[in-house]
Amino acid sequence: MGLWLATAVYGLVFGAILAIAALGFNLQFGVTNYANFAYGPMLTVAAFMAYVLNVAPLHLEFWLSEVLAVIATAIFSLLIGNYLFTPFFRRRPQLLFGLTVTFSTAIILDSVLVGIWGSYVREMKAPSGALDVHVLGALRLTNLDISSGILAILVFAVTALFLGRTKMGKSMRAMSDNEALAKVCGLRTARITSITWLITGAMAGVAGLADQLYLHSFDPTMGDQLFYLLVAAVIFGGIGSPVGAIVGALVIGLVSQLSVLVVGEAYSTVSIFVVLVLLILARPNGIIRPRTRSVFTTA
Amino acid sequence: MGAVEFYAVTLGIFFCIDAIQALGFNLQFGVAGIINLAYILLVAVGAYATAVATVPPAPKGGFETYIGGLQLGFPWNLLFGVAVTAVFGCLLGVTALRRLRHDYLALALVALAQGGQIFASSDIHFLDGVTGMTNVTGPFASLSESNFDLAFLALSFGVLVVVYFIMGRLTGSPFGRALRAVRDDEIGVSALGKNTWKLRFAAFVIGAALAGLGGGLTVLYTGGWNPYAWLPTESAILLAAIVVGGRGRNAGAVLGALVIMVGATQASTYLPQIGTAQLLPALQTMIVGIVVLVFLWWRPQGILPERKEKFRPAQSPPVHKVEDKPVASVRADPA
Repeated sequence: MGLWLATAVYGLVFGAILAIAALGFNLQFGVTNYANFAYGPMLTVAAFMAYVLNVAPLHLEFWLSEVLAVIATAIFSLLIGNYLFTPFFRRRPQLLFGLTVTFSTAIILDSVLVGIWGSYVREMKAPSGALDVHVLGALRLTNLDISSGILAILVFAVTALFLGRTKMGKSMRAMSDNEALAKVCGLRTARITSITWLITGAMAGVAGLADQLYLHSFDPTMGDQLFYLLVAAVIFGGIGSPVGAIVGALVIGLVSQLSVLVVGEAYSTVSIFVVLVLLILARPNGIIRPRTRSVFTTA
Repeated sequence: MGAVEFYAVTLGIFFCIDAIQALGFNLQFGVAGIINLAYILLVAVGAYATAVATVPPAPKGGFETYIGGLQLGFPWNLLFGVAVTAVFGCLLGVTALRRLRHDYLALALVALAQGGQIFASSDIHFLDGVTGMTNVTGPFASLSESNFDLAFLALSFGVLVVVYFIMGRLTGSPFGRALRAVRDDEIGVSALGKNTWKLRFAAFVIGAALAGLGGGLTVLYTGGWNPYAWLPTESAILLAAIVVGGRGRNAGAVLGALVIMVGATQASTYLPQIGTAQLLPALQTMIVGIVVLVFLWWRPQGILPERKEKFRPAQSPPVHKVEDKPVASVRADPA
């Protein structure tokens, strides 16, 4: 396989991990109407929970720690969302306050992580066999890469079914669309918001753990480094559209890898922003125009 | 000059520089309502631009590599830094500020700051990567060390006074009133015919210029600047300064600079060294974040709230005794 195609595949693998995170972020944004800056640190929290369970101080088996870490992140997201954010959003409903609250929470979470674990880079070992490489020309894919891709597809499929077919999913879409109308229709918005925190926390957990294994090593800024790419993906993909978030993440993943071939490694960050700025100028509503009668649309 | 005086002078210099940055951030965040949580990016642009304007061109084969190297003297290097930051603010203004909705703007700016920091750290040739710019000679370099500090204190205090005066006039002017109106009710203001984008753009660029001024002064005083100086936590500290000191009020911004930026950051140095070396700075940042949340919950207007506008009542018309007038009167009613 040629170098370009192989690089594109690597980009899709990374984009898939990013897409899980972007999907969770987008769902939160849709239901609560606030961008949650603390989502980045949530990814790091998931990584550290897995580390605590698997490496130090506990030594649980790998898959058990991964599952427990996802559950723990989901619960943590629920606690923060329900007991910190929701009261704040109710008391100070202006946008300025909402964003400042999530931003400050992100700062607090980051500093707690650094305070407890320091800013050292730590290693998280994948189970043996994960790094077995399948070679196809220039393409070298590990089992881990393939599993991440399959995991992402699973997450998207489950989310699509959930949002489209289940009552809770439809309620979440209704709330994203028009919260007041949803309340008028009798939906219990507080409960739906809690469920949203739980589910998107789990997504953040999955994405954070996938990223941790993808990078092999991690530090307290892991989530923040993913977060800014996530923001680019969400803006790229369009306001309020989950499909857009996925597509945006895949595109950002592709750009981040392919740009290394084009402009060299140091400038690949810049190229993402150049693409983003051009997009903001050309289509500020994002690439995907939301279709009004699709399973996925929440805006 | 003894150690205590030296410490006080250093604190004074940092207070002046922090107050200038806080005033700029207050203009953007407090008065105009632009949720720029990545203000530190603008400060960094100013610092780097001033550094690049001051140092000689990077020696080939040396261990430092960066662009520029204009070897300008004071005040041209500082003015260059301010100008570059203002231009950068213009670029951000016509792209992100114009096109994006408020929350997307906040997201995009934070992402830009984070990405910019990663880029500055990783690319060696742009601004010397993680090491950053060093050996930036400030003004008064020929003076002795203690005289240098005193002279710089005088310089930064003078700049602060001028900036404070200008900001006061600006926020009290019709421009300032229009900005506050846009912050409170953008749709209403544009319905009245004001160009809300132009107003916010002007506030953004002026705030960016002040950020550049603060960054430039910092680099001229400390002699260097690297990516660790502009972590996202710095934006959080500025945010805390405005939220605690007084949102939308210049005196509040200065007070916030004193309380948070100087007070809180210095107080942590007096605590005993417990735990790892990184525990105390992390604890300090955590407390700054908690303070912001506490103030947002209980006193969002800050210690010094915005002054309510006082309008002089219109001249009341003279009272006519109804009994004196004939029924059909052609006298014009002065009311």
